[in-house]
Amino acid sequence: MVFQESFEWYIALYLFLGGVGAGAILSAAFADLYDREKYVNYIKSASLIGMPAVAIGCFFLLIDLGQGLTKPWLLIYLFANPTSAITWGTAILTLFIIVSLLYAAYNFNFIKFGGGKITLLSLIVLAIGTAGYTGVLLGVLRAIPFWHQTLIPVLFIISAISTGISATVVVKEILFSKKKENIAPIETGHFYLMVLEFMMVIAMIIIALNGVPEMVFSIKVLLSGKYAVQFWLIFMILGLLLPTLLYGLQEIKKLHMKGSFLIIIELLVLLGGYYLRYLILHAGVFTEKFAHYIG
Amino acid sequence: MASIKMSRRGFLNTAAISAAAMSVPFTLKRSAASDNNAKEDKKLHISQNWCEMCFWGCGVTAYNREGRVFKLEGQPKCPKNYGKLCARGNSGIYQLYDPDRLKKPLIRTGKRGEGKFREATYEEAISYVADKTNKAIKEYGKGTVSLIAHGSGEHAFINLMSIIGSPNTAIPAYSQCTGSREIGWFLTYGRPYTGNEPIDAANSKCLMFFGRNVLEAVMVGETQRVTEGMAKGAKLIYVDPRYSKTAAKADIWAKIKPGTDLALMLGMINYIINAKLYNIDFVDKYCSGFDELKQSVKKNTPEWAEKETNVPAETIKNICQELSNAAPSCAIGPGRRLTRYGDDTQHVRAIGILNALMGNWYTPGGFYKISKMDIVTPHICEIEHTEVKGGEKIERVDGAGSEYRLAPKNLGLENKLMKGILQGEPYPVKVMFAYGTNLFQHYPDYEECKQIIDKLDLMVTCDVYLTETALYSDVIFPESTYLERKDPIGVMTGKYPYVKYREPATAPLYNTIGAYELVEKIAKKMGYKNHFKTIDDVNKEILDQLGISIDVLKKDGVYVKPTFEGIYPQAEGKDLKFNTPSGKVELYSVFCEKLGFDPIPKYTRHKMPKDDEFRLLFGRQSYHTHARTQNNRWLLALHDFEIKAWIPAKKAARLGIMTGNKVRIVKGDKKSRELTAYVTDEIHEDAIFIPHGYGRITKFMELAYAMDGASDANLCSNGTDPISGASAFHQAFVKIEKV
Amino acid sequence: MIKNKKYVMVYAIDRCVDCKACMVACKAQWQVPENHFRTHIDEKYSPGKYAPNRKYFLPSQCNHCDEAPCVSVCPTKASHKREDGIVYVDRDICIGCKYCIVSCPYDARFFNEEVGVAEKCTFCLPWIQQGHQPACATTCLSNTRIFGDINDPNSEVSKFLAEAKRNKSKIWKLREDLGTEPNIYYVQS
Repeated sequence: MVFQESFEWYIALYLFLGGVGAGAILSAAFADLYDREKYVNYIKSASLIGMPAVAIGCFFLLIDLGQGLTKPWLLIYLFANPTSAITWGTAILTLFIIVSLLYAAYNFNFIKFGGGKITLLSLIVLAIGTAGYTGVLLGVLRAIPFWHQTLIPVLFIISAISTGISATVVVKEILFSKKKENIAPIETGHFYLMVLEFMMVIAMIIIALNGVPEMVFSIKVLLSGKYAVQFWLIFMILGLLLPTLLYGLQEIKKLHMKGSFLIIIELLVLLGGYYLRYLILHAGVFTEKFAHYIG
Repeated sequence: MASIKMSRRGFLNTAAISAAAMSVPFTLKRSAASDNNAKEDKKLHISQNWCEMCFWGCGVTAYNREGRVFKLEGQPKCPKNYGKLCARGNSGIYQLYDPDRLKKPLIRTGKRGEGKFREATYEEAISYVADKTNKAIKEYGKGTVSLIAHGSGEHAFINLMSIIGSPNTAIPAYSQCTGSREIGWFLTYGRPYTGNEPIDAANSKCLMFFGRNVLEAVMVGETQRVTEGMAKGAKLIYVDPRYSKTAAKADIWAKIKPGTDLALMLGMINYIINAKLYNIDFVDKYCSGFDELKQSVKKNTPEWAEKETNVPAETIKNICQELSNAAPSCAIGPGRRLTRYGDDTQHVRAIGILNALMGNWYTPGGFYKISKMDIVTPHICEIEHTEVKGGEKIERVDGAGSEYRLAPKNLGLENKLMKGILQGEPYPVKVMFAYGTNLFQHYPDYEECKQIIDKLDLMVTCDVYLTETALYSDVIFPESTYLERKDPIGVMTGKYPYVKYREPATAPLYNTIGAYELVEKIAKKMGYKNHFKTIDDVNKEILDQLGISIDVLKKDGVYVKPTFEGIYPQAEGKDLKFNTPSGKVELYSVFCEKLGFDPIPKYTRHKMPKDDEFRLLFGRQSYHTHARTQNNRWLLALHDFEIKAWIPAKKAARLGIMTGNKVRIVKGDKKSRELTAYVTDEIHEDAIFIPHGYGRITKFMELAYAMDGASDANLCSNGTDPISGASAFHQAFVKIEKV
Repeated sequence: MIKNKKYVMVYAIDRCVDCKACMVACKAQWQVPENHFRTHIDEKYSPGKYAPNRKYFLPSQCNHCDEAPCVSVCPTKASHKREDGIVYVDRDICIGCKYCIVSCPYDARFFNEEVGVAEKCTFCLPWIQQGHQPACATTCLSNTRIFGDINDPNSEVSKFLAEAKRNKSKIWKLREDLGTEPNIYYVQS
C-alpha cells in the first residue's frame, strides 16, 4: 500500500478553514433569514470569521501550489478546465469570498444595501458549495478508494457547519461577550449536527471496513495504526464526543457553558474538525495497481 | 539517515547547494519550451567510451549538450552489451558530477586515518612520491614497492612496477575473486575460464548456477545472454541458500545449506553416472579418469547428498534429468567470486567434471570458444628492467608461483602480499600504490589492514573518491573519471573479439589527470629514462595493424573482428585438443596428484554454525559494484537508502527481531554499524546475508558513510584455498543483536 | 486516411530481472530530482512451487491513458492528451496543485520540488521525435520494454502483440476496471 504524500497539512488546513468559513456564513445566513434582529451579534461574528477563514485557507492553498507564488499569472488558468473539481471550486470560492465580503460590509454598516434575500440565498448556495467542494475534491478521485465515497462531502458539510458555528461562538464570546444574546436554537442545532457527525463517522468506519482492501487498510491505519492516537484521542474524544456530551447536558439543562470554558470547548470542536480532514488526507492510500495480477 | 532521506520540502536548500557545488554551467530548470522543441539537436556533442562503473567494459556513447553530459547509452555494436547499459552504467553521470569527488592531489598532514590533508600541486605530490619511493628502493631493494590495482588504468601502474623492477603487483581480481575458478578450470580443461563468462547461454536449453547470482550480479552481456536464452525457453536451475533475483527467475531453486555445494555436485555426478545420463561419446573420446571418478563418488548418492545439503534427493535427480535432457546444449556455470570455503578450486573441478559429463565443450548452448584479435598490443613505454632483459630476479613476497605453484605471477595473491607486508617476510615491503582499489572493503579485518599500512613508509592511492584506503594514505592522486579522459585503445578477447575506444565526453571538471599521464610523470621524476609514447601514438599503431581509420571507432566505439574461426569446434566436427597432461579433459587431475591434492574432488564437511550463530554470506546487488558506487545517490535511491540484512525467520523469532528493526552484526568483540532487518523464509536458517560495500569509515564519501550497514570485509573469514592461493571469506560465524 | 501515431509500450514481463537500469537511465536523461523516479519496478509475490511464494518483477510507469484522470482533473489544462497518444504536462502552465498526482490510480506522478510542477514519464518526448527510443527501452538489458506506434501494423509493438496473441500469451493492462484505458500492455507467456 502506498500512502499519498501530495496533500499534506496545508491542504488539510485549507479544507478545514474553507469549511469553517462556509459553515459560519451558512449558519449566519439561516439565522438572518429566520430573525436578523435576534441574532445580529451572531451574524456579525460569523461575517467577521467567514470571509477571512476562507481567504486564509486559500492562502495556504496558494503556498502549497508549486508555481502559485513564482508565477502568479498562472492563477487565472485555474478556471481553464470545466471537468476539474478545482476549476469549479476556485469559481465557487471566489464568488463566496466576494459575496461574503459584501455581506460583512453590510453587517457592519459600511454599505447601506445588503441585497436582501437574494444575497442570503446565494450565500447559502455558495456556502454549501464551498463546504461540499472541500469533500467533492477528494470524493471524485478513483485513485484513492478511501476518499472515493459519497459520504465524504456530506460528512465535510456537516463538520463544516459544526466548526463554523463553533468559530462564530468563539468570536462572539470574545467580541460581544457584554451583549447577552440567546442563541439556544443554534446551540440545539449544533448538538444534533454533532450527533449526526458522530453517526456519519461510525458509518464511514463500517463502510470502509467492508470496502476494498485499500479502504480497509486506510481505516485500520486510523483505528489501530500509526494515526490511532490522533484519531481516538484528539478527533474522537476531544473533538467530537466530549463536546457532544457537554452540549447534550446543556440541552437537558444540566449545564450552562459560558466564558472561557465555552471558548475552550468550541476550540476543541475546531481542533476535531481540523483533525478529521488531516487524518482522512493522511490515511489515503493509492489503489493497488497490480490488483489483478496473477503470476 | 534523516540527512539523506530528506523531507520533500527540506530538499530545496540542498538542491541549491549541491547545484552550486557542481561548478559547471547548468541549470536544473528546463523550461517546457525545450521539451516541446522537436528540432534536430545542433548542440549535441557525441563521444565514445567504455564504461568504468564495473569491470565488464560495456561500450558507451556519451551525449553532451552545452558542456553537460546528460545521457549515456550502450553502443549497439559492442559485443559486451549490444546497446544496453545497467543501472550503474547509467549512473556514471552522477559519479562525474558527484560533489564528493577528489578534486586535487592531497598530501597527508595528520595521523594516518585522521583525515587531515592539505591540497598540493601535481608537481609537489609527484616529487614527494618519487623521493620517498627512491629512498625505500635504495634501502630495501626494488621488491619493496608493491601495487594493488583494478580498472582500466591498472596497466599504467603495472608499467611503473615493471620499470622499477618489482614483482609485487597484486590484482585482487585473482585472489579475492576468480582465482580458484581459473585454476580449477585450467586443471580440468587445460585453459583458464576467463572473465568472458564463455557460456553460450543465449542458445542454451538448460542453465545451472551454484550461487552465481547471474541475474543480480548484472554484467550486461552475460545477463543479456541468460535472459535471451530463458526467453527462448531455456530452463534455469539455481542453487543458493538465498532466494536471490536469480532464484526468483529460476525454474528450480535448490535452497542449499551453505558450505555443502561440493556434496550436491558429487551427488549429481553419482546419479548421472549411475543413471547413465552422461554423454557417453564425449566421455569416451575426450575424458580421462572416468573409472576412477565412478569409483570415487560411489558413496555420494543423492540420498547422501540430501542429508548433507538439505536439497531433496528428488530435486537432485530432477536437476540431473533436466540437464541431461538438454545436453549438450546445457551449461553449469562455475561461478565468479569463488572465495567461499577454501575448497573452491575443487568446487570448480567438480563443476568442470559435471560439464564434461554433459559433453558441452565448444557446442552451441554449452561453452563457446574464445578468440583473440590478431594484433600485437603495443607497449606504451619501453621497459628495460624485465627479467628477460637481464634484470635481477626477485621472488614475490606472496608466494605466487613458488609456495602456491599454480598462482600466476602477473596477478599475485593480494591476501598473501598483505600478510607478507605485515610480517616483513621474506623481505620488507615499504611502499604501496593502490589504484582504483579499496583494501579496507575487501581485505578481511579493518584492524589488520591498518597495521599493514602502518608498516609502510609510503602509501599512495589513485582514485576518484577519498576511500578508506585513501584515508590511510600519505599521498592521494585524484583520477579523471572515464568520461573525462583518453585511454589507449583496448584490445579484447571473446566470442567476438573487438577493440574499444575511449575519448573524453567532457573536459576534466577538476584538476585531475588519467593514470597513464600520472605514471609517466612519476617515472620521470624518479629518474627513469624510459620512453613513453603518447596515447594517440599507441592508438595509431593499433589502427594501422587493423587497417581501419579512427573514424570507425569514433562512429561505433568498437571495431569487431570481421572473420575468425569457429565458435563451436566440437559441433563443427573438429577434433578437440586439451592442454592438460593427458591431452584430455581431466576428470582425474594428474596435476593435482603431483602437487599433493585430491585428484578427484572429495567432500569434507566444513565447520557449521552453532544454534545461536549464523554463517555470514555477502554478495552483490543489481545496482552496485564492489565498494565503488555506494556514494551514488541515484543508485542508493533505488533501494530506498536502506541496507537490508536477510535473517532467517525461525532464528529471528527467537531473537525477537522483526522486519524493519535495526540490527547489528556481532563477531567476537566487533560490532557492525546498523542494518535494517529483513526477516524471511527466503534464506537458509544457517545463514544471514548482507550486501557488499557498506559499513564505511571514510566520512569523505558522505552518502556512503551515512548509509550505515555492515562491512562484510571487517567480519568475514580470512582463509586460503591451498591449490589456487585465493581467499576464503564465508567461514565466519556471527551473531545478531537488536539495536 | 492516415491514422495518427499512437505511442504505446509493451512489457514482456517474463524477461524483467529487476536490474533497475530503466529507472536510472530515465533519471539521468531527464534530471529527475532527488529520490524520485518516473518508472519503477515492483516485486510481487504469488504462490509458487519451490519458494514459499514466487516473486515476480513488474515494471510500471505512466500509462498514457486515453481516459486519463490526471487530464480531467487538471484545472489549468497543463496535463493534456496529445494527438500521438502521449499524456504530457506543460510546465509553463502547470501551477503545481498536485491534484493530478492524487488522481492517478497508477501512482505514476510525483511533485518536482525543484521546478514546482507535477512530473511523470513522457515516453521521452522530444527525444523520440529525433528518431530515438525512450531511455528505458533503449537501456533495458533483457528487452522487457518494447515501445512504438500501435497504429502502424509493421511497428515492433504491433508485431510483438500480434505474436503474443497468436501464442495465446496472457495480455493485460493495469486496472482496466477503472475505465482509464491505459496504453501499457503487460505480456506474460
